[in-house]
Amino acid sequence: MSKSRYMDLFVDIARLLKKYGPEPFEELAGQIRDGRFLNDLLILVETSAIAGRRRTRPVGGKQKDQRESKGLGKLLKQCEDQDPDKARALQKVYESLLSKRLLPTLRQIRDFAKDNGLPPIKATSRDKAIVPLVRGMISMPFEQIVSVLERDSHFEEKGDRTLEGWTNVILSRRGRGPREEK
Amino acid sequence: MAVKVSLINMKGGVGKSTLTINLAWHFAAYGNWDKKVLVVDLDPQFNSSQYLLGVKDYEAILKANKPTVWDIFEQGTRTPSGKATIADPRSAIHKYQNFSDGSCIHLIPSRLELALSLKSPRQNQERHLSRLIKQVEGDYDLILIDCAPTESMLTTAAYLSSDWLLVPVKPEYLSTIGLPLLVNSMQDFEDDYGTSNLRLAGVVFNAASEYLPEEALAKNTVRKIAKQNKWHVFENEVEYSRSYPKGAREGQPIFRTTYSRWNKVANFERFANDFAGRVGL
Repeated sequence: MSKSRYMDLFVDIARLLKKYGPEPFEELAGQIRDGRFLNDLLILVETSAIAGRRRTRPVGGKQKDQRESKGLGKLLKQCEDQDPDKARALQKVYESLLSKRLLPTLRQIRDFAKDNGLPPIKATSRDKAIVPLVRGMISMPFEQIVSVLERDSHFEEKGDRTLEGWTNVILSRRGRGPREEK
Repeated sequence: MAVKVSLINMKGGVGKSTLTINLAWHFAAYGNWDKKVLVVDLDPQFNSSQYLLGVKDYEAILKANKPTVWDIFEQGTRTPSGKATIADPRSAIHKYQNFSDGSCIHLIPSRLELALSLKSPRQNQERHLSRLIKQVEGDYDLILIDCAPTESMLTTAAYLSSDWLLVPVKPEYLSTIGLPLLVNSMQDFEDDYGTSNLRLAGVVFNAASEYLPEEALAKNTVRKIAKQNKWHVFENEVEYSRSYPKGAREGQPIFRTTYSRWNKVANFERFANDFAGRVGL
């Protein structure tokens, strides 16, 4: 490989490293050392490139998203028949996610799924991660969904972590001992 | 049984609370650690409680009269209505976050009024915390105690409750002066309570930037004091990053913020792993 090609590859890797962090790269580096894996990967990429060329009408991402949203709507409808409260809570979660009031970044969505034992979110954009997340949440108990909504709404409320908020907490306690509360 | 570690330095502003909460998050939710972590906020300034809970959750705890670390120390105090007691010591533990894999971050929050307990400490008051921890330590893998930056009954309570001390030091002139004060404090404790199982996990340079000559001077001074006292100094330092204070404002550890640089996250991870090896986690 020429020096400039090496440099290009290096810059590409640096960009991806910035995007994904070092961990996935360390794992990949281990796998790439295996020659068979690299070979299989090349075959896979070439095959999918041929299959891609053969496709007559590309299925747009938008169409796929619409299909997924419809699928979710169906699932929520089924959920509504069995547990209307849960379906309402999930609908609220869905709306809050769409408006970015809840879990405003892809990273937060991924962490939330991990923390709650939901299937890992593989989507690479926040918009695409919403439907898989809500679909995964259907298996969660109603109480857990409600507590998620409550806790996360606290984080979103303005003033919850501001200096003004803490100043109110501290100054409102002046002249009042804990025993007087009891 | 849990590994019990107090984060302590007689100087304020060295990053004890930030380090405590980031370590708690790291071992509960980062990589494959999956540990059950209890954070004890032993500082009347309640920075760890602020970091984790936010205003609403913190106010809710006070309004519901849920016990805090203050109630633990005030057990047995005589009041006109009898002796103050906590029916169930576990009720002082706030279940901040339970993860599906069984790991968790729980918190015993603090409150401003803890400062009042220091004004007229009663006999044996310093033993209340270690008694509670003995009852609950089987439920956790790691107990982190965030200490107040002054010598008081709370310091003794932390010593009595811990297996290890972790000493964060900011590499700057005034922060290093906290170290000889800590040496004194530990010697006083040994004089008063005899030998104990308390060990020093080590000194960690916190908010270090490596390049400033003033910082290098402070680090050399600390290393000298550490050597004289046979203290371990962690090779991995926690580098300064704006993501720490920003994360604190958002209630997030550095590895969960969207803006932190991966090398800063990796730097913290290296220190945390080093620390885990040192305390046998």
